[in-house]
Amino acid sequence: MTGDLHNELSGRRILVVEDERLIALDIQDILKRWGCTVIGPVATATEALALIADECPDSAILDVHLDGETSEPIAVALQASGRPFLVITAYPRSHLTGTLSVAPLLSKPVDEKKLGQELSTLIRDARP
Amino acid sequence: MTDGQTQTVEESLRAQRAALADFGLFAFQSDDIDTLLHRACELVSAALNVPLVKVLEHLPDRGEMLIRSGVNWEPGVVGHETFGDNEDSPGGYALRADQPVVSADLSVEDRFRAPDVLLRHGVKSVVNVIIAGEQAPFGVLEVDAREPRNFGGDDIAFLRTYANLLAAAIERVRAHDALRQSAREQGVLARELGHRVKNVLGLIRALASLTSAEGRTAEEFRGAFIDRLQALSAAESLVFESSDERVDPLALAHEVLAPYRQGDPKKIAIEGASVRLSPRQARMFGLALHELATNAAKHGAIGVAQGAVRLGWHLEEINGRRISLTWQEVDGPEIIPPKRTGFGTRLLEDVVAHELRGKAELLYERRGLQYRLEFPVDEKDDDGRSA
Repeated sequence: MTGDLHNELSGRRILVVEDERLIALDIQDILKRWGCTVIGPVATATEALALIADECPDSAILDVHLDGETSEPIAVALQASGRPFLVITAYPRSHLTGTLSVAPLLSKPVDEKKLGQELSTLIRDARP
Repeated sequence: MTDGQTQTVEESLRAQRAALADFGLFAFQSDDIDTLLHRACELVSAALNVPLVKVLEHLPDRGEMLIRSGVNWEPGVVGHETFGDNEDSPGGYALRADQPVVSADLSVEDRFRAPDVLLRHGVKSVVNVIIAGEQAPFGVLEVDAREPRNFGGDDIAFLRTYANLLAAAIERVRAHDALRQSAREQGVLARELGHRVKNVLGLIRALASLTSAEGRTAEEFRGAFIDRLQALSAAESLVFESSDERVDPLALAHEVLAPYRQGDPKKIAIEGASVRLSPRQARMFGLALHELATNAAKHGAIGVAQGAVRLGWHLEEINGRRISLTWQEVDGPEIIPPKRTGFGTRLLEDVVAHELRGKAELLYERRGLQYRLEFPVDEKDDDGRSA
């Protein structure tokens, strides 16, 4: 499976938004092992929005609750520019609202296999 | 309506019995105190053929009796008007006397004064009975007639039975409310705890994943991972033990560094100001001290006989309160900066600085390794940064 993922995800540019730094580095390392280019990780909506504009990510992984804000504006910007994303949270799905609630959801702690599958499905489906 | 006089004794007793039965059922089904009290006043008014009835709630903290409920009073009286809970008012007098009090003619009453609200409503005679409570009386049930009336033994017996029914119903509703409130709070706590457990599991996963397996035997990997988990657990334990979820860094430092100070506490001298760390800060503080100590034991001052460490932190006032920490190794072996960036270095420089929103640097100095960390005191009360 790792080999397939490596092929599908290799070279993909993935934005990582996560304010818990250890978890952010964990996700970053996982993505790097799959051959992805990691944009970030960043911990605020402002930084994430700037990276979406400047770095043209193919897709994104969003933590829901950042310090005193949520990732909703990031989700809106990604959706508007046609970029698929997935959401990682320690809360149940029923806590999610708005654009965040329509994205695929992974529960914390992150399951590496599921993350790989969801991400490659997202990127495959988004391909024109 | 002319109060009372037109009823025969038989009629009035029948009306009173019916009122008791009606209210008994109502009291059993109602789960709201105000609805309960209002219905009680209505039924008493009808049964005694007296328009003005009210319930006075005793508020001992304020030394007052509040007209909590009532029928046929002017707007602005019920829920607002209060009397002192002393012998000056009929209700206060009954409460102090702890027994029914009848005043057949207020104009000749000398035990208490008639409050303005009674005079305004043309009240000439009153009867009060106590509404009991579990610890102290809830208050009194007061019937106010617009003509002098000598409330008899039957009236008083009826009102006492009625007030006792009311007292039992009030206690039942209060107990229900307390249970409901407690269940709600438990639910919130359980959800919050569930969220926290998932977050901590996420951290543990990250620790396991970021602990390098490269160049290590399985035993070495296990040791390195479990030691890190231990440092995280020490911080979590102190968070759970504290009443306000704040952690004293001194207690945390002693806990995490204990294995390296056994036999010789001077090996790592600890001196720190009294501050409070948030749960999130405490985790990072614990993990950082563990990394420093384990590195110093392998490559630095703790690993050699004459080596020592001085650990200290103090508060600074620069754009708000900040904590400034220094870990200084002395008399250790020659320090060689590592060739590659391992988890320890990443944690000490990158993770800690990000998580604490401060600055962190590792200095490979000639006299020994120095780690400097500086971060703002978390004045917020929550631990709600990530989910």
